[in-house]
Amino acid sequence: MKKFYVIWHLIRLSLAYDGRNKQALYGIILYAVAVSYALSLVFSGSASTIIGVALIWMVLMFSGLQAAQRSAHLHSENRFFTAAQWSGPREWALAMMLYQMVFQALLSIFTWYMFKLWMGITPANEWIFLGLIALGSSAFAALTTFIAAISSRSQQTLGLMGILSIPILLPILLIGVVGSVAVVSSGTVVVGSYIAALSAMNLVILILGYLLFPYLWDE
Amino acid sequence: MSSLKAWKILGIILVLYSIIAGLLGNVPRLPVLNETIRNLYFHVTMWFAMIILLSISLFYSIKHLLYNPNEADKNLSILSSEWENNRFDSLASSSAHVAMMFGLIGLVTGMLWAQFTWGSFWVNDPKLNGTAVTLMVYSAYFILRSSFKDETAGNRISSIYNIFAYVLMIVFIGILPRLTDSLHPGNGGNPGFGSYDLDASMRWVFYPAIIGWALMGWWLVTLKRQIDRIEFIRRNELD
Repeated sequence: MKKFYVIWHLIRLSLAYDGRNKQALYGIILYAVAVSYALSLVFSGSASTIIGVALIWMVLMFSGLQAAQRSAHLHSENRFFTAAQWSGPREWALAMMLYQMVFQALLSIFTWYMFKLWMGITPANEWIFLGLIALGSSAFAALTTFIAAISSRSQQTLGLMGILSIPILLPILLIGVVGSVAVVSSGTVVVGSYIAALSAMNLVILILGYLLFPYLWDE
Repeated sequence: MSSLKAWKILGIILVLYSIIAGLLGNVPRLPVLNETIRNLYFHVTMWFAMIILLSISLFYSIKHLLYNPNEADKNLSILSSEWENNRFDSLASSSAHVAMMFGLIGLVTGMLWAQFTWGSFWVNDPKLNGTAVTLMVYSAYFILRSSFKDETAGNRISSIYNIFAYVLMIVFIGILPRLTDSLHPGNGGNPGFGSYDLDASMRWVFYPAIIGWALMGWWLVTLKRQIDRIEFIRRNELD
């Protein structure tokens, strides 16, 4: 029970930190708005639904990478050691990943409505589509948060982030795109397996992060 | 230090046998595939050898994380004990190196086979996507390894990345073929090797070839490790 309290407190700490750094938050929201508007200009209403789906997944993937770079400060030694004094590294890792997951999931839903507004895409079953996007984004977020922790331990943080994350992001991207195309083209298709696959990815990343994080700081 | 042990001789014999029997032996006459079915002995065995070596790499990465340097032999010199402390990690990285080599050979043999049966060097197929992801992930692993000034921290953090990447890769390879169609046997309505393609006579070449290539791979790992050791000593003596 104490563990949950510690994790909840760490999440509130991150929330307070983001509240004080609103410009970073606005930057991410502006990214979602600007990119979806730029894409609608480029395609000027001629993008088919399938292309729209492919585009939104690419936008979500890169916004996941961006969010991780924003969270690089979370992995600075000072903040880590301050938090580690009263919580374990595992609780710290879980809290950071969960916070980023919820944040990215909400952001993905916001991005989707921007897309819908400007690109005019209508999936056959919107709720399942939203579920797929939110699950995919939260998996992106959990993964990039952990990779950001890895790359912050090396000397070349910024260059490494993309190199290390994109290959492992590809599986999630593929499952998400294949699932979304199935939902968009016919809402009656059974997509439970895609939801299950993405949830499994989320869970695996959380468990791996929980197990492996202490070794990152093992001096 | 390295002598010709029984398992090395076994590896040579099995690989030689699989090459000779693979090129001269009797194979089923199937439409489209024709004689290219012999590529099964050379293409598919590369993937099995790669996965075996990557699993060995995972095993040693886990051992490296769990290893406590205080258990080391106190009588060794500083240089030798530093090498000994990283022995599991050096085994993990050497295995990953050799696995990458098998992966690249498997990719090239597969692309040639695809050209003559499916009519294109590259198709959008879950197995090919899995391959591309695997090769990219392990390239990233080597870049991560080389980006640390402090080797001890670098080895530990690359071990963490190795475990993370391997587990996600296996989940992915396990999930995606079940969700999408594939041109490969055993997926999306295509019959598997087990049902009729791989008849009894082919099994007698296929399975020994896997064992043979895995043994040859492990031999290469030991050689790679000796090269690493020489480089390690030279680097530290120059300092």
